[in-house]
Amino acid sequence: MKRITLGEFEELVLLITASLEGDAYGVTITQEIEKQSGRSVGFNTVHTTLQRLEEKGFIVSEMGGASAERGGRRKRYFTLTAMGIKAIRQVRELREKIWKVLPAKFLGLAGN
Amino acid sequence: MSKNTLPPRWAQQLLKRFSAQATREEVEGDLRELFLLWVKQYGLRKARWKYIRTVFTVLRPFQSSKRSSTPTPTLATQMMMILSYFKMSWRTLLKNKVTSLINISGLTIGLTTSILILLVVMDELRYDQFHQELNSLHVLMRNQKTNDGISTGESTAGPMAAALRTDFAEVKYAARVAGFGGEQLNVNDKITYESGIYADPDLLRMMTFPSVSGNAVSTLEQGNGVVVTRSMATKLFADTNPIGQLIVFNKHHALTVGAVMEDVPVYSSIRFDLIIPFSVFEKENEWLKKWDDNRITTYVQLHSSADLPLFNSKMTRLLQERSEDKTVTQFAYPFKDLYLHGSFSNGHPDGGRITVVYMLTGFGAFMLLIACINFMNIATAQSEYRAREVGVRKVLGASRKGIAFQFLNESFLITSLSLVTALSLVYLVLPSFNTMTHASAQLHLTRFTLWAALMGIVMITSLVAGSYPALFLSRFLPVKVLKGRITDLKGGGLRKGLVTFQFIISIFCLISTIIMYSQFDYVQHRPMGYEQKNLIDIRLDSTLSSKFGYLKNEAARLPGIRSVTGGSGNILYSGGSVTGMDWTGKRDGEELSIVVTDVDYNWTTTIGLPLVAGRDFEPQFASDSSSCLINESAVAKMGLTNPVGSVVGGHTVVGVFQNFVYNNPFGSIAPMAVFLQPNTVRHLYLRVDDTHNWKSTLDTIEKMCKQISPEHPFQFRFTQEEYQQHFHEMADTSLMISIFAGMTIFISCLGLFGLSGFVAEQRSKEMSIRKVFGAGILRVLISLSQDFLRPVFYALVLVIPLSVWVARWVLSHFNYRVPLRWWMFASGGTLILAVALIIVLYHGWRTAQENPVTRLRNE
Repeated sequence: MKRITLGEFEELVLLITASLEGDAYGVTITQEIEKQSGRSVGFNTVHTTLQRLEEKGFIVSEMGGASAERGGRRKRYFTLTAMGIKAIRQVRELREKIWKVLPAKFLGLAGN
Repeated sequence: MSKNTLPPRWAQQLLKRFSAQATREEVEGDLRELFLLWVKQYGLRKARWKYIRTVFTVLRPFQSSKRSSTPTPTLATQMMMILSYFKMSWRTLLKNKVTSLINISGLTIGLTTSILILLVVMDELRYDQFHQELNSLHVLMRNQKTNDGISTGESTAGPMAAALRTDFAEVKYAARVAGFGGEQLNVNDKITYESGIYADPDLLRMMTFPSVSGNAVSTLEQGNGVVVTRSMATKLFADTNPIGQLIVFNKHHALTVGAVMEDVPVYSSIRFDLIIPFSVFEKENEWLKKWDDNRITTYVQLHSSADLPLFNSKMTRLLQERSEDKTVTQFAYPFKDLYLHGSFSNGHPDGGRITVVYMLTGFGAFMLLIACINFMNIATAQSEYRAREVGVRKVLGASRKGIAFQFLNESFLITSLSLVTALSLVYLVLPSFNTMTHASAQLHLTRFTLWAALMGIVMITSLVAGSYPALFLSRFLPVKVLKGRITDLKGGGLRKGLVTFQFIISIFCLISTIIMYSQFDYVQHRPMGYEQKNLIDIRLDSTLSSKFGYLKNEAARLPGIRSVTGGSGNILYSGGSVTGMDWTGKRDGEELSIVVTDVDYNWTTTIGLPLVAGRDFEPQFASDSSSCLINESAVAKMGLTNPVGSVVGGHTVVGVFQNFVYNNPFGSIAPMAVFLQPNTVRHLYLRVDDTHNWKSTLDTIEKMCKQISPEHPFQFRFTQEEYQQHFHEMADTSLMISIFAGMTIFISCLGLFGLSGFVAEQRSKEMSIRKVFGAGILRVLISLSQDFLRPVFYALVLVIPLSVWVARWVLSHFNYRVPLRWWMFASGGTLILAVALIIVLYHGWRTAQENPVTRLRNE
């Protein structure tokens, strides 16, 4: 199986794109990342990351939804490809596998 | 949507032009949307900022398209392409030797002139820049109302500086300065005559004239010290230490050298080698205490907080309170503007040397433009040959951009080569250029500004010269040009236009030169109004002046001397003018600036000046010491109906003499009043016989003078010779202008030579066919040359009205001006037309002479 490598930010963008299901384009993705993570990200970072993810085949895009407030320009909507979905799953599985073997004190149940 | 809630337009444009094409639409849209969100969140200002910042982060100016199929060339291939461009340019250069030579020599001459002009202009701009406090330095100027308008000069009353220093808070320093020339210095029994300045110590506090040794400021404060420059110290004391040495100034001031200064930079508008404390001058001249005598210059340094208009009005108020003249105004003029913008008309600055700077710069630019036109014309004329090359290149995949770049590269190479030859030419001609024009331009190849300017010139020149051929030649469609000849040789019309333009400038230069020379010649031969020939002027010092009566009587007895007189001033540069003089019938508010000079008896007869009315001063009238003579101009300006007997400045007019030329031979003759004052004469005038051996007479007079004042060097001059020296400098200037004009014409003709030769070659087959069908040599010549003579002819028609207009305008600045004649314009035009004809016919003749067989054999 081909190994999937995702950077930390790429993973974030991919997850947010998935969460926005059907309404994922530059603006909403940037806004959502800021909202969820609380950190301020530049539009250009998101934009280049999206392009990179598309090149790698994790997402596909299609144009549509022009509006007046966009000066009549269409949006580029992003949706995850099968490979993209597989990628975020893999990341999650890996995380969970490791969390399972972590000593109890990391689980945050003891309240320290 | 209101305009205010839109992002900055320029940023949007930037985004539209330089973002990656593939994602342009959504990025533009996304940013518009984000902008609106930002406006809500942060306000408009911050939103705009954020928008601009974001735009810059998404610009991809060098990325044509992510999805395009051509890979971006690597750096190595790009370098290789550039090298190949150079190689191709070099080969083209070598292949077309004649045209390359024409281009390079034209550009070389253009660049040489431009560089010379650049050096002169850079020199001019450097003036006075070395003063550290330059921006706060001012010179006091004075506006004086006269009947001819307001006259402005750097003159101040003696007590002004002291008053400024004590009563004006905005003045940091104030210094009085007066120049002197040819005063006697006794140093260790040696006598020399030197010029220098009298100055207050504040002068050295505000201006940057560094000392080598000693304290210059305190030396000037002492009142018995003297400051010398390094070169003056060497001249006076050779190798001994100058500090503490004694100099006897003007026979009775013993002064000690207290400080040695660096030589005054060449680029200084104040020049001296010797500074005498102003107090020395002050003690001897009572008039320095008066508020109405304005013969010295005052420099001030103002505090940075000073309000200049307020300061000026305060100064004017002070001056008008103290002075008798209530119309004078005083103002501080920035010292940094004095050199370049030092000319005033009617109380307002109206240029000065800056006009020359602008004119020179314009001229240099035109010269380069003409050389550029040569390049453009020849390149487009050659297009037929180059077309095939372009076609092949395009077939092999060259882009239009690449081909344009190659042609630009060619012009860059030619311009650079020309720069190298031009620089060496400048290096060679600079010394003679400097002596010829009395300039002090130098080629400092280590100076950054020079190189920046040179690079600028090269870049602009190669762009101007190369851009048209580059655009024109890169446009060819490969299929068309490779299939056969391009019959439609576009660019011919433009080429003719450019040739016309070149010749407009050339003819204009030539006509200007002709008119300039006629004007100088006209002035040089201006009727003087008196007998200049055989008039000798002998300078007297104070000792000789006190014995003037004796000297005059002795001289008059000598053989060959017709008549003798004396005067306070040189007849050619008659003294200073005064205002505030009264005359009979003077109306209120009328003011006139009148030149005054003192003379002895026999003045009009000796200098050969005819009297229009009345009589000369005569010894039998004792009252003549309170009489005066005036010139016709004074009569006219004062409006005297009955001049003899009227009173001017408290003196009764006894005679009116004819106007004669003095001071400025170009100007109108200013009013003059002459007083009888045999005690103040400094010049002895002799009228000698034409045939007489004046040399021996002068020897006798020299012996007499040496007896009375052994230390005074005997100096005499023929007034006529001295007058002619006026014109030496003018001759230098006109020589320079005519050289420049000649170069312009040369470049234009060079271009015409190249172009006509080229076209004659191109049309040689056509001409051969014409000959085969029976055309005569004349027919061939006409057919070949009319294409080129027409633009020259058009230029002639266009330029003549233009040059008439310009000549009228320029000459209107001179009061004494040559009347414009039709031949001045016709001769210039005809000359150029003749040269053009010869050039064109030269090629035409060769073509016409050819045996048609040689050209048609291969067909």
